[in-house]
Amino acid sequence: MKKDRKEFVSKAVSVLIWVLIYQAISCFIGKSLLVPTLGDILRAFIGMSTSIEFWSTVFFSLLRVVIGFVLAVAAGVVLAWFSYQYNLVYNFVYPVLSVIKAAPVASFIILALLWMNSGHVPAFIAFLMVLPMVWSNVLQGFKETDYKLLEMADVFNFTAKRKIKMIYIPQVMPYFKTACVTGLGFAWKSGIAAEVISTPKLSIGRKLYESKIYIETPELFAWTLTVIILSIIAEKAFKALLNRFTKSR
Amino acid sequence: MICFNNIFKAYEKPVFSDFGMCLNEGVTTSLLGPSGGGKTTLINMLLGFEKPDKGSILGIENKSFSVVFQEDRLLENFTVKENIMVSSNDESLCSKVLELLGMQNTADLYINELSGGMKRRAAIGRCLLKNADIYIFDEPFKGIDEALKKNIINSMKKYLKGKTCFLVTHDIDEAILMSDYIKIMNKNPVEIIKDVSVNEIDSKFIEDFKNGIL
Repeated sequence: MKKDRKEFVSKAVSVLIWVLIYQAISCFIGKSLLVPTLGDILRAFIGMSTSIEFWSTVFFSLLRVVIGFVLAVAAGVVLAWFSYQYNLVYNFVYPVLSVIKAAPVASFIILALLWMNSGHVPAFIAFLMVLPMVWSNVLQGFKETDYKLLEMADVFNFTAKRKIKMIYIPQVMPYFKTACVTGLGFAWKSGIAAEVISTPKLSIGRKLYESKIYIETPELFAWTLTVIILSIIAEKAFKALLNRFTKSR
Repeated sequence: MICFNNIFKAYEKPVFSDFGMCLNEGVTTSLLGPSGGGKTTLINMLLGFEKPDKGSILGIENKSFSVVFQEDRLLENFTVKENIMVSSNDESLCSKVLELLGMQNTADLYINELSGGMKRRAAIGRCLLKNADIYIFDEPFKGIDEALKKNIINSMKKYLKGKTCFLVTHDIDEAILMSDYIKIMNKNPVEIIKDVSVNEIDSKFIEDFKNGIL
């Protein structure tokens, strides 16, 4: 408990120091248009956050990212399972997911804009960015499953359901958790980047784009702050949810 | 009768060259031999995890097995009872087995809360709960303290009466306690050098085995 408190204080002090450094830089430069002061950012943030439009914008951006993320997690796990079971599936999927992993996200965003409605692009991009990550991590987890436990399962006639519940899930879970937590961060970044380029209505990306166009730097920082806060909340909430469902000893 | 017939098996070096051995059904047979002599390989071949390069194993067609592996192979995230009951849903039999192993009070503990000896007992429990044709025990009493081991062996002997059991061990005392027949295996080349009924064993035989003369 004492150690946790010490850790918290240490982190809080670090954040405070960085905030002070930022404020010092802002005061030194003295141009709110380039580096707004903390006061400017906070004023912009409070001003924005009292409007219904702000919350609708946050809600729809969150929804797009979450849809892309959840679909990617589901598809990644299913694909990983079939890739683990059948080498043919692995060989079929591997080149496509490797290309997705290596190609610049902007290329996909522009391509996606040609293929679909701009409102669907952020979810699609979040999906594309998270899918290879979940696939490769979960597949690695399956591959690392202790073959001695699988032999034991064969001797004791485990059903497929029991094998999944008692052997695969506990063995794959650490890989799955890592993939999801990292993937969630990626989903946020890529989803918002897609919104900046595709500018759908009621999206944080569009607000960031407009702030840039109208040179509203404090608003630009305030929206960025919103994304950071949402990302932290989403990560914490997701970790708590995962821990609740996979309470392992 | 279960027979290993003219078994050839090599990894980097040959392990078995024209190896033969038979196990009687309905009794317990122990196989004693040096480490790295291929005892566990024989078990793996019985279970079908490994295939002989040449030769055959007769008498195991359509037979079911239950095993205590050399490693515990328990599921860490589950309790003792959950681990034992993977082999049967019979709650009352599970209670009987837990009692036999002196584990009534540890049934709800998780595997990572157990000592080495307790894990071993849990692995034995899982094996005993399954209603199998052939029971295989690979060093099952490793890590269990001596006094408890004797009690467990005596209880197991009663529980498994009339069943076909194959025990692999280094310990001649536990082999004598548990088995009806004892086979002693040699290394380089791997072969059975002694095949005796437990009733034929005298103190000289035990002494010779312990002194490495056999």
